[in-house]
Amino acid sequence: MTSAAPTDAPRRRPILVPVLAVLAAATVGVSAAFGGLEDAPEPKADQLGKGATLDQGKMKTVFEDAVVRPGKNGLGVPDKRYLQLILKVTNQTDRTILAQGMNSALVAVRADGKTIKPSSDPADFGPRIVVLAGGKTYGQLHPNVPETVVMAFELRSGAPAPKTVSIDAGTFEWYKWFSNQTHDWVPVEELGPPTPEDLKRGKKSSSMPVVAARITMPVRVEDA
Amino acid sequence: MVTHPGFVPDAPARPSPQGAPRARVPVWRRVLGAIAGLALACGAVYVQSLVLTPDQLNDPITTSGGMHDELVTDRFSTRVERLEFARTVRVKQTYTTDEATTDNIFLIVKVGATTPRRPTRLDAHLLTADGLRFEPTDRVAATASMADKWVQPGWWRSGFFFFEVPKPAVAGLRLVVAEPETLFGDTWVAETSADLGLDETEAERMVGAAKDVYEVTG
Repeated sequence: MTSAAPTDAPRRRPILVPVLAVLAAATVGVSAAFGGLEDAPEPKADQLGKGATLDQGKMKTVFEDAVVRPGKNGLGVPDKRYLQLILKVTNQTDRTILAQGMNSALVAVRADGKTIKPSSDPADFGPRIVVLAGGKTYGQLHPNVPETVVMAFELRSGAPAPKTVSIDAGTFEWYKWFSNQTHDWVPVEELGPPTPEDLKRGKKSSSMPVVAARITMPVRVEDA
Repeated sequence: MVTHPGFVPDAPARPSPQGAPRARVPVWRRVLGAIAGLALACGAVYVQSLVLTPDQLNDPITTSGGMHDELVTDRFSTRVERLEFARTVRVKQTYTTDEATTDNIFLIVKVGATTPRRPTRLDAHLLTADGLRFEPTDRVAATASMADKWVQPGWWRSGFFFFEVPKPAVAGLRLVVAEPETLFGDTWVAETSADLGLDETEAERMVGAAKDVYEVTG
């Protein structure tokens, strides 16, 4: 005669609400178990030693040695002493770059815990960075050609030679500029606490290079 | 009034009434049309693959050729005249002699150049077969280099560019010559790119026959 009224159909249980409740509880539980919604702690920088190799993106660097020695041809003057970091650098880009680029690749250098790079003295132009080959100093790093690069810090006269040196090494990324979509090797940076200058300009944070590895080396002393 | 026949145009033909059978298109024409349409669509997709990436948009406009070819651009013309390989380059100056050594090998390229209108200077770099770019070496004094000399309209002048390259990278080298880059980078600058004619065997022969010392004044 007439079709069955809808009310005659078997009553459905309201299943959606309990399922959602269980899912929500599970989400909260799992998040809490893995440390809640806090940022995960930053991965600690690798701790490396003398002879270690580090891929910095733009270049591959072997930290060969740290020596204190008097200056000679192209690397300072004979009556002063210099802390020299001896590196083997291979340019991994597709073109010739300058050894001076290691200035931004090695973010900070400490000698016996005291920071010597970046220098606190604004008149200090930083270490001298050269390619050493055949007893002469040059400036170029050709692509895929390993070269010995020396980063030389002048020691104050009479100051004792440091025992150890520790280097904070950063990395570069093949970065795409937002403005014109072109690519370039750019140091990897992150936001950190503001420096005094940035505070003065009213900024709440400064971008500073990410330290990918910290290399600690004993310092040899060489005379003459 | 009498009008001559043909003076008043005929009324346009009435459109055929709706539903009238359209002229039949033969099957071969439909097939041909489908193929043509597909070909056009494929062509359009293919042309997209030729679009320059943003990194390539500022690339120079290159005139290519081989050894001894006169490569002409609007701003200058170049010609690669001679190649030499050497293990040491000795630059003799008035009072000093400067010797450059390397663990790799020096490639000395003699390039001739002229310009049509105004004096200019020229820079060069090498491109390896896999696209690596080598700037002229700083081990050889810049005063001996062609980059230090003016190229003038009216006559050809020759000079050397000195490069330091690893021996395995020698095969397939090209020499690219352009005016020095400006601070903010012009677009569509001219460059000439010469294939140095170094295939595997020729590269091996010339590197094997490299001079111990190549002497220039400068």
